[in-house]
Amino acid sequence: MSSCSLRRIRPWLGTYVHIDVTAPDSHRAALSVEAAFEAIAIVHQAMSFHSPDSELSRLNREAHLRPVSVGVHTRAVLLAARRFAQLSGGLFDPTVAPALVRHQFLPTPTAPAANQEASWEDIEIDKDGQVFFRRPLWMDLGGIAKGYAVDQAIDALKDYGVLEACVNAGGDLRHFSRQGLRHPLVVRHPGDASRSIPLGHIANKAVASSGDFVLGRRGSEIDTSPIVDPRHGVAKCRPRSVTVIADSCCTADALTKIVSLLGQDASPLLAELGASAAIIEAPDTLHASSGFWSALGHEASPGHAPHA
Amino acid sequence: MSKSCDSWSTVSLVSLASAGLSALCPPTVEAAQYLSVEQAEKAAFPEADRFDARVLRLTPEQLRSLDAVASVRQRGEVRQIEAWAGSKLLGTLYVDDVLGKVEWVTYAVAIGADGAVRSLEILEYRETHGYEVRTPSWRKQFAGRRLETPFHFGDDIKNISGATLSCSHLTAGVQRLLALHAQLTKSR
Repeated sequence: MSSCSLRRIRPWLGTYVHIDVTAPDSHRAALSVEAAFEAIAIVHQAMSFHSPDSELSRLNREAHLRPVSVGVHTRAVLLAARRFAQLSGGLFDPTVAPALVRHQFLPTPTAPAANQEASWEDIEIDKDGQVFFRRPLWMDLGGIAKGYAVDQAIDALKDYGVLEACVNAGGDLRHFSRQGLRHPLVVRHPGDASRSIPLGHIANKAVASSGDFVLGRRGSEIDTSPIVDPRHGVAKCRPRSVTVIADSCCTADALTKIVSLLGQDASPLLAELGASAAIIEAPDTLHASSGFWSALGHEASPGHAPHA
Repeated sequence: MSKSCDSWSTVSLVSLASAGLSALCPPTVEAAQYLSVEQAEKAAFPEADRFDARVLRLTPEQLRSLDAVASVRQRGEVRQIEAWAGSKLLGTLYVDDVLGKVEWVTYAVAIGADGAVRSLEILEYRETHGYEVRTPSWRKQFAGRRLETPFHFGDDIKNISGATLSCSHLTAGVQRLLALHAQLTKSR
């Protein structure tokens, strides 16, 4: 059978989104890629913290005054965010934006000042898609919406009957293969961004990674980690990264933040969600949760323990 | 050590390489082209029957005026392609490069006759680690190694996970092109 492969990159979600697709014919390949980017654009426009016109920005301005209606996607991501907050005992918290703004990871929104005591527990979501904040707060779905957008893009590609697809939004990626073919996975070395670490191959899985490093970041903030612990606030950067493999990219994306903060104590949660993780520490150590190596196609751990 | 550590295993990264895992990754291409200029023209203006192309060499003065709009390193040479249907100007496609954090990105912006952006496509993108590909030590790890992979679209290392690269410089590039377009249409 002759098939057509296509690669496209467009800027969305504050990063470059790569879409690779193999479809039965060129027409379907082109249409599926357009549909996938459209799905990403919808999520981006609804949930951008940077854009004052997004549903998210409207929530931050008004939802503490009166219930605000949101679309189906924003509602789905809010419900997912709340679920991860509950599962992690509040370690995953979409209301830590004030700390991220203070440290210049996010721009200052045009919204009333956030209540310092506010947390995810102040967010009410009713069945009709109405959202109400019990206190003024700044919500940021950056820790989860990118993964959700990748999932939406994969769903759009599947609807077009593609054979193979990979959507990668700056490190949050998901692979699909009708025939179960495997796809190589490489992560960046947390201590040296110029080095890559090949880990193995995934098939029909999602992967997300979080590092303390942010490429190209300069100035006084370079030592600050973008991962905020709701208990202690912003922490110093460590040459460490977390990679999570899960069935959906939304889950993988959210779990990177939780594993970053919980470390190996995240095991029960990973098991509950059918996910696995690795924590890579410079210069030479990789800690893998159970199931990590098998998700990458290895029967056993492919390396040996570092010298004590 | 906590109890839950029992289910985690620890390996040395160096031992992963010696386990032959790096051989799983074929060499990276230095710059990958995703869309040719001709494909970008047709995608942006499918109804056009003619494209008029020229190269604009921006003067230092022009570049300075664009720096005031948004600051990003631009090559100073912009391809301008007008799309026509008969005698009707449908719009203009600009092909330009911006320097990102570490890499040049070639992109095409289509601006309709109404002055609004119709589409934005990346034509050529050096992978985020493209700059390292040129360093001999990085290249060496793949020297002579090729692996027949069982799929046909994964022919380079593209699934670099673990780096969110801001594309703000691209936004700056687009803002500059919109300003340039306004200057050029005004002076017409």
